[in-house]
Amino acid sequence: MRGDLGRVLRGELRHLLRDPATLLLVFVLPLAVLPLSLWSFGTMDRAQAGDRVEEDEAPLAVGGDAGIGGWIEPGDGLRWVDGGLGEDGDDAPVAEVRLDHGLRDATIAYRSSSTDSRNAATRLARVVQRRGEEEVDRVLKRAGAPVAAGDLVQVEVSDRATVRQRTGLRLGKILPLTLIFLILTGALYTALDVFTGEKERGTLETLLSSRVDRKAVLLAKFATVLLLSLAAGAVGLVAFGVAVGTGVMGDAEGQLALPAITVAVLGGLLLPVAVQLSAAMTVTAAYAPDYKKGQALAMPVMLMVVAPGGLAAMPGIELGPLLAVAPVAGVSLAMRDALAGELGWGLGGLVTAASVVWAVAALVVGTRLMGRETVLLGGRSAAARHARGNHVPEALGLFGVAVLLLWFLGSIGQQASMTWGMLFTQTVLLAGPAVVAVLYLGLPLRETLSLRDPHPVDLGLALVAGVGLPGLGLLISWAQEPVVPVPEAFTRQMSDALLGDHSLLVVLATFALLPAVCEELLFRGAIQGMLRRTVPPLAVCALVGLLFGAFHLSLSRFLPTGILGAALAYAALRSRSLAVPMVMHALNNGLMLTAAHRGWLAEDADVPAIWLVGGAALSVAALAAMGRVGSRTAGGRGT
Amino acid sequence: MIEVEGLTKRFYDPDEVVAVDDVSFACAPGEVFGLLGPNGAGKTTCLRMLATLLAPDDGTARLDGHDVLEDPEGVRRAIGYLSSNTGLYGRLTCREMIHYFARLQGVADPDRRTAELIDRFDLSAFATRRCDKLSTGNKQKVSIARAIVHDPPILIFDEPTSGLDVIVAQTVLEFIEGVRASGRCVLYSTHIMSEAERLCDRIGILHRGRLLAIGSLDELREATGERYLESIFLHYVRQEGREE
Repeated sequence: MRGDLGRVLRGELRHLLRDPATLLLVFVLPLAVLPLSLWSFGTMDRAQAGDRVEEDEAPLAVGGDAGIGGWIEPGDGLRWVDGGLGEDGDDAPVAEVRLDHGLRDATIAYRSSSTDSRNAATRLARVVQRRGEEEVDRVLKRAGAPVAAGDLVQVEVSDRATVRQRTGLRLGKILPLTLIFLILTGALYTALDVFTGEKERGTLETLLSSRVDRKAVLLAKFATVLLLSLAAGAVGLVAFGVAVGTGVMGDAEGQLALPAITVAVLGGLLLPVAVQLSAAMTVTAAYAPDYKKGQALAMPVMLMVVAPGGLAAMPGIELGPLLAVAPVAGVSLAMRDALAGELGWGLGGLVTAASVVWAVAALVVGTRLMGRETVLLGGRSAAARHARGNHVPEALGLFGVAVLLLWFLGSIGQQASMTWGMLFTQTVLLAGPAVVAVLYLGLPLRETLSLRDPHPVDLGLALVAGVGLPGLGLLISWAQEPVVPVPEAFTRQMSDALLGDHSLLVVLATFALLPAVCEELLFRGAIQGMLRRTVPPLAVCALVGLLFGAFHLSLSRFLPTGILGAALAYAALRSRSLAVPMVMHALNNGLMLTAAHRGWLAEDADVPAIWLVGGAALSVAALAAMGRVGSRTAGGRGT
Repeated sequence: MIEVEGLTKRFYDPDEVVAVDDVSFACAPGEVFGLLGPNGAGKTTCLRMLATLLAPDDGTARLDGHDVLEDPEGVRRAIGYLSSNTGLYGRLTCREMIHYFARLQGVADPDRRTAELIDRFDLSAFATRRCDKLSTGNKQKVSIARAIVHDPPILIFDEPTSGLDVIVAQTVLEFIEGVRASGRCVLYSTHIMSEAERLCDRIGILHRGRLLAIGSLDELREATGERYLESIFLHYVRQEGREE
């Protein structure tokens, strides 16, 4: 078999490397992408670090109340002009300072949309602070105090990280994801060419009619995908080295001097990530009957692969044993830590070993798929699958589309306005596609979405379960805290974003009622409706829970939301009415938001454990009782 | 050399379709056995099962003593398979394509065998040309060279003249006549009656997955009282329609 594998591999490589598109994606694209990413990252980095005043930088114009201009010193990077913020002209101030009651009440106004304005505001604040300390010194001196303001409190913050560690950490936010993207692009194109492309061109049938074993063919094709995706990553890494060496990052301390061992570790980590991504793309391409469907299938797979790769850029996510074995995420975080010089041998080894396990698992699936003749020779009919009630690929596709829309459009909308963005996301990006997908597939809308009146008993149980669900969620969060802690910054950002300055009523309508309707239509309605025709009931609950957890795009929320999703799926399955999980979802979100709004979930708040355990027990008991009366009598009256 | 017994294959698209229904026949060395039937009769499915690309739902087949289910690799070693679905690697040259399959099939001296086949099929002028730049006729010659590169005792040809002009089709037919003379067993599927009349020692008439009749042309003439193969074919199809 080894000889066959080598022969097929050489043949595949020879064929692929004569394709201009392969050469472009594997060798040319990586040369351009990483230096460009680094350059734009360096530019952003410099913009963010704008409070540092460079020697050759022109001072920024600021204005405000008369007299303040005299406080500015040459090294402050500011110059005083008459007028205030809001005036037009080349020499108009980009920030202003007003004193209502002297220095006690200084207000600095700026525009966050402008980098210059942000930097000017930071520098102005420093000037005002300095002036304030001088005033205090004068007062103390007049009073005959033997101390100055600076003598009373002196805090020195000392960063002991080396230049390499600091720059490595910053690079670690962008390099892993960029490398993963390059490897994925290489893997996707080659996998589609050597599987779906060959099915369409008829060469797969030619190859399989030879005496070569099918396993050897699959492994050789996988090896082809792996080698070329690895090549894309390696070219990217070399381009990265050249870009860093020539100072594309280019800030004051950005000249990296990575030790050879770090470069070697990065190169070594390319292999596990390439193995995982190649295996995922090989299985996707092997499953797809033709090129068009292969591309459609690859989209959600790419998304599911890229999302964990982005963990390295998120604050507060640390590489531990749990994340080390997570596909893609582990390698991504390991690369980040390697750049900062903080990757240990133990976790590095665990990441590599887990990658091998994931790749082998994917290849076992791939081998089984290769054995399926309809997959092997194309002509797999979606109509035939649908006739058997199998809509699993469509359900997963719908999930992929929803995540994609949420990621790209929803996040933009919510950044512009949390309330309106949420309304847009929930109705247009989640509920809309769910209904459209069901109608497009010609499935009965009411039956698929479980649009039935709930049995009164189930509705009562939903109220009980919904009241207890926050307890269950908090209990899970508490239990996972030592392994997957919720980053403090994340909690604060979420709290600010959700609660903001709105009244509780608006918050409840936007973040409790709206998701309860729209997310239920998508997950427990359309996706579950498509899955439950062929997937066993408990597997449906587990899968819907998994998707619901992944949908929240947060590692720390994955388990609580995943279990919540599974519980809601179980409720929908037992009651056969979407209204039941909607009520539970609304109650869960509503109670959590009310608690957060009242400060009951603040860090120093002490929530009695008995409440959490009691709530969880209440939920589980209500869920267990659900459907025992309702399922027999809940009829077909549509809501 | 080929023994087929009760071969059956079902597809679901979306309802169950029996593509090949309880087909049995045999083919001896030095014989060209023709499977004659219109498009959709089940010829390709039947040949794909014999080439071990598809697994039969029922029945079995042995080729050169190898069972299609128990020893698929042995079967593939013994056959040369060519169909309208077996394509060429477009970015390989004519020589590379033949050489690649010579190596895959375990030919002892792939260089010598490649040169031999290029010479035999008059492909010397195109040997270094990429397969996707070849004419349809030359592509088919390369495909045939690829199929016989390991000198198999059994050849399975599924409509090999499909889409070819008269001159190239003539070359293919002459090649098959030559193969028969060398004592090999040829299974040949076609929907072109004249080809079956010219080439086949025995013919199996396949319609809607079922083998309606088997025999030499003379035997079929005698059984139906018809002179031309086209009339013989229609005779069996109508007879099946009446029985249903």
